[in-house]
Amino acid sequence: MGGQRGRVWKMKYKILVIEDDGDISNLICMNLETAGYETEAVYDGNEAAERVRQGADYDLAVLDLMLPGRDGFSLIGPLTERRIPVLCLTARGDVVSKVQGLKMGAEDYMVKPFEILELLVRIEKILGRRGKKNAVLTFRQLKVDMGSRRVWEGEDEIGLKPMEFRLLTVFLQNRNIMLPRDRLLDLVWGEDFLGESRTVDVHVAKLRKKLKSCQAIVTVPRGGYLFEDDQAVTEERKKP
Amino acid sequence: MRIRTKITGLVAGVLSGACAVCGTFAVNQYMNISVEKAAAVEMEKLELAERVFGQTGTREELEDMGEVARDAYLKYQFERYYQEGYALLKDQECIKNMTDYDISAPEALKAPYVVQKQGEKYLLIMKRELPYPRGFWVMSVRDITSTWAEGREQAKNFFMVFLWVFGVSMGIAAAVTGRILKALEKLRVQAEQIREGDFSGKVMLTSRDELKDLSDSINSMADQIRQQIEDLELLLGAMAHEMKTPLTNILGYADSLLHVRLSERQREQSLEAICRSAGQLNQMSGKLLQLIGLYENQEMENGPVDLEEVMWHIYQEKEGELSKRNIDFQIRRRDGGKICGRVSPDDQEKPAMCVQGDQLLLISLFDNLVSNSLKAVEDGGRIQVIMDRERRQVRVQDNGRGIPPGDLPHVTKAFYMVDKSRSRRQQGSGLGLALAERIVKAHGGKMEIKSRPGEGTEVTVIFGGGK
Repeated sequence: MGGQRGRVWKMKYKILVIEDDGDISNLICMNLETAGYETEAVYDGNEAAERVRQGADYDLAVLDLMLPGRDGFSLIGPLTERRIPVLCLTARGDVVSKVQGLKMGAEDYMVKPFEILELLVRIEKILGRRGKKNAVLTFRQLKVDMGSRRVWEGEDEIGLKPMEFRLLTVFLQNRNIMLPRDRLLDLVWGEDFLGESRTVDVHVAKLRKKLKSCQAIVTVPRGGYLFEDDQAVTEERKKP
Repeated sequence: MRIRTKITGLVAGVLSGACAVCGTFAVNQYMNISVEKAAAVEMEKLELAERVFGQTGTREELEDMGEVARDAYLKYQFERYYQEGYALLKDQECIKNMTDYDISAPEALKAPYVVQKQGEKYLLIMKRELPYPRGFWVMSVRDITSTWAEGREQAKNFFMVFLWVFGVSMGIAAAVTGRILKALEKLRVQAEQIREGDFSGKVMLTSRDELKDLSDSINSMADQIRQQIEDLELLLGAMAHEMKTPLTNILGYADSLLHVRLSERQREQSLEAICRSAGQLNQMSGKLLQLIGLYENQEMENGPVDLEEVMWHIYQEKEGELSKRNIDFQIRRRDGGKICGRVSPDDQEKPAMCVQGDQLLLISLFDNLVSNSLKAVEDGGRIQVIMDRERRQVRVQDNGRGIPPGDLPHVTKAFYMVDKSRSRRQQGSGLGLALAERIVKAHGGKMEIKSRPGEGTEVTVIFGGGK
């Protein structure tokens, strides 16, 4: 995968997951992969430091603060030096740890237990802030250039209204995750927007009409919407 | 009633009572003595005057006189020899009065003397019969108001002294009670603080009395409570923290199962992870309950427990894992300083090693120790249990990874794990040794841990006292 300056085309964001508990690590990786990210899991501090030192290129690191070997706090420095934004994900919910983590350069701080959707949204926000959105999101024939905010399906460029574009990117960044209507309202229109969930339905309908690929948006009864990307799931099936 | 009121009331009451009795008695006594003295003096005077009066004529001469002449003569002579303040009585009738007072019913005077109050004056009245002629009495009336005044003066002085003593005593009593009350107030404030959960306050009393003892007791009680609360808080905090990992797993995987499209394999994995984490929580809760039960000194069975039987019980439980991992597990006996061969469960002449205690807790204790050894050794390793009947101790030793010296003092703390991720992988709760130590303590014994990293660990449980 190329660096953020070198190449414009980037298929997937790559996320380093530094977490010592096997189950939690697997939980994070599983969901990130399903949502369309690429992940790499590291289980102890020394190994993580080694990976970073070797110059492996990641778009973001999810970091547990209590690690065997090297302490998680001491990894924030080396990671940010390499321009890898850090999201601390830890059981330490005390203010001191939070402040320390953020002061040392972490982009965000989440306390376990966490909600999958919240983790995905925060990752997305960090990537957006860090100007890593010049990437292109792809799905089948669909190609979305986050930088120029243009959308192609096959060879044709499709014109989308701003809200439709934002809704589409939210779906593409949270593939296979069930998104309740109120959550979508928050994510796309902002938390101050006093709209109804009908607004979401209307925009989803418009997306489905304008883009063939958006047939992948499935309505979950009494739940919300889910953007089905079989690729992640199929790739998963290929694993031993 | 407040203590201050009680004590001052008591002191005031006792003092006033004592002083009133003493004062009255003393003043009375003084007055009596004074009056008596005055009466004695007066009596002497009367006698003297009588003797002189006797010179005026012999009994025969007076008897020879006619009654009227004799009376006149006596009156005349009386006037000559007696001064003011005397009266001559004939047949209880005053025939010559040289006093300033009227005399009436002199026959009422029966005692040697009497004190009579006349207006502001106090009068000492006495009478004495002349030896002859018969029927004549001399009565003396003496003003003793000054004696009375002296008595009153005396009473006043006494009262002043009393007031002074009273004041000083009350002052001392107030000071002493004040001191005691101040100390009590301090203790009360501290007790209040303890009630509100503040154990930092210490009462420092400088006196050396029962209050000091009480404050010492309260101080040490506060320390004890604080220690226990701190222990429990640490335990609780550690528990809350330790619960986070399994909870994160359960919530996260359940969330994923509900809201994320997962492959069949991922679904299975998620369910397995949920199961695993729930198991971990369950194990933790079980051990915690046991630990808390021991904290609260719940009823413990107390019967003879055969430790060899306990070890065999554990062996049977672990047999599967032992043979799968090819671990050499031995139970040996130490007799007369040398370690004898292996013990087998159907050893006929089994000299059972018995201790008094709770069988379930002891099983839990050695199960924890053996489980720890199992976690520490590599496949193909060795675990040895040595039963020493004479010294009443059981040693569990292994040739596992050992504990780093820096961690050794902490391993019996709840949730202390030398290698957290490893421990969690092996389903460790971090409570095993904490629990083991509690159980050993509850049995009045102690536990010694020796370890060298890379060489192995040796845990010795020493049971106190004989049967």
